[in-house]
Amino acid sequence: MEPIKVLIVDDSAIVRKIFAQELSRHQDMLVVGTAPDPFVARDKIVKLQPHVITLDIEMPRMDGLSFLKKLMKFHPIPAVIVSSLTTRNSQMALEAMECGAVEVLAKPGGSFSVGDMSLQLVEKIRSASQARFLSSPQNPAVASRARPPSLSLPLNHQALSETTHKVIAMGASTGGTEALKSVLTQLPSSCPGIVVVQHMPPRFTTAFAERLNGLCRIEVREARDGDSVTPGLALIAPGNFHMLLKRSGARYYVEVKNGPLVCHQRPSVDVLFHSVAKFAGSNALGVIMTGMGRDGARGMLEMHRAGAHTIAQDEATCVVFGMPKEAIRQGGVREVVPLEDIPGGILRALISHSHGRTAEN
Amino acid sequence: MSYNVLIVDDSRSMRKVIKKALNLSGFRLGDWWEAENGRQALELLESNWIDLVLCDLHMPVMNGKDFLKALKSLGNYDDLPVVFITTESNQERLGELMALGATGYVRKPFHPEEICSYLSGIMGEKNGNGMVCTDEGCDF
Amino acid sequence: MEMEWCAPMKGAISEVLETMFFEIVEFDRIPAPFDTLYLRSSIELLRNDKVLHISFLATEFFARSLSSNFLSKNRDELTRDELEDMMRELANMIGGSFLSRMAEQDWQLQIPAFISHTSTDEGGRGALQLSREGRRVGMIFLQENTLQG
Repeated sequence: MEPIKVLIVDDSAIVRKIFAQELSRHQDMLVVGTAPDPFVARDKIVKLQPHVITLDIEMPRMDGLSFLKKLMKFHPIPAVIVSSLTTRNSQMALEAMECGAVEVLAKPGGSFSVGDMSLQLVEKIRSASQARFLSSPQNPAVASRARPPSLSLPLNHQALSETTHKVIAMGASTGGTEALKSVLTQLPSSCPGIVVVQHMPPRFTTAFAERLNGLCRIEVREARDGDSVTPGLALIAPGNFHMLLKRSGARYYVEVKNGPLVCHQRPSVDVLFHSVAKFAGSNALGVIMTGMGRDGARGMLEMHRAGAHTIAQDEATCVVFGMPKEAIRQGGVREVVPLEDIPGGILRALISHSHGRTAEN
Repeated sequence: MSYNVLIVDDSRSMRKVIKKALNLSGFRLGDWWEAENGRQALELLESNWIDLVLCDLHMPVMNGKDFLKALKSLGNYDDLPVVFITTESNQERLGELMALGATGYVRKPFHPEEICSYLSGIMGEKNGNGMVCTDEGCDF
Repeated sequence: MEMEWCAPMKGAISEVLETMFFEIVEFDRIPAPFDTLYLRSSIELLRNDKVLHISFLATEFFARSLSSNFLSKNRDELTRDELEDMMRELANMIGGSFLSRMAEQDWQLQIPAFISHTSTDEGGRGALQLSREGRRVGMIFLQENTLQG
């Protein structure tokens, strides 16, 4: 198999050296070059044709974001954003995802060692190398497709008001920030409570939740241990913690806790979906979206068996068709739909499901 | 490392002379595009990766000031340096350009060396203190 | 008027010719050679209702020398377009440089124009004569007008 050709763009000589050294340990990685600034990077991208670049977003001379925008426009290539864990940089990293970057990695620092980072770096480069440019904001065909006609959504608030006992669980990874954004911004404030796992480092999840909160009709925030799951609210699992759904009487709430990596991930979609299957059963609705790997597939099967309606994002609209593919393969998916149909799919399922129940009762 | 430059000037001779001056002066000139007016410049910017715009002020069809306004209104080009190479000396009018977001200006006539050190500075290179980013230590 | 604009104009011409065209000229009153053909370009400065019209005339020989230096091209390979373009650019730079030397800065520089070839010595009396190595190579003159209604 041809190795993944990687170009490292970082103004720090130490980071360039560590990355190159760590990647050289892996058979499927080939560091074809490094660049200390965007101008050198451009020359090397044109000359060396790497498959993936890692990009520091805080660089001298031209910030990484401006560079990324130009790169995505004139020479699209999967990019893994490397950023320190500051609030400002988390926001920049999110913007980078909006500009077309597919993964974000936290720089080593504090308790987060080079060893931890090394594994993640390799994982993220592998994911990025699978990424396809579907959701490029520069691609007008996709941009217009990604804007679903919100009027066609079954905005039947009366019907939705009968779904307060429901819970929506969503999981995504590579390309997930943009996919989640496009779904969550379409959901009405009368929507049942939502729990979300997006594979991302800590702090970035905070910035992500804040960003979504500003864009959505529903409230979006990063989950804290013990938070209630209520209609009109979406809780995003914080980076580096698992999030589980629990139930106390008629109240759903989340538990945010430590624990081993599951499917190389923390938060893990499987951990969330497993808890949702257990505590919400047929009152739940599961959505698995774009991402590399198989996290969420087993949990989705459990949800399906517990009577939940389950939806997977289709291949054509996925940046990486990994997690949905595996979920479909394992047999836990009821409905496969393009990204722009997911909000409609969710609402239709909720309403028909709740009507079905009423008729049964 | 090199910079991709777009020159906007209605005079073909002037475009040639500026290119020659940049080449002679040691400026790290990469790809080179030419536009006769602001309108053409906007089209070229849309389809090419350009790092620096050198622009005349007085041009037919779309002059330098209108070009700058149009560029800034697009929003995607906030960090693209636009340097005017102009005979204009009126401080008020030059000030207007700066207020509109021009990066700077070079007065015509100019010496090639002046242009090079000025533009290298604008591209973030600092002379003599080792801050210039080169390929050193980045060869594989 | 004549004395007023002569000094800044001399400064402007010297600066432009020396920096961009690598030529040095003198300002001597040397008689024009018989039946000389000139290339002529002009540029206008506007201020309220006043128009300052600067005309620059160069012999074909001198224009070719200047263009040849400017574009690093053999003088015989220069096209008519290149000569005209260079003449316009020259007027532009001289106009700009002249303006920066004047007391009032609020004149507005217009787009230069190439007029035509001319053999007349019009404006000869008030013109600033340019010579190089004892030969007349060109002249420059100013006309001030008031815009009509």
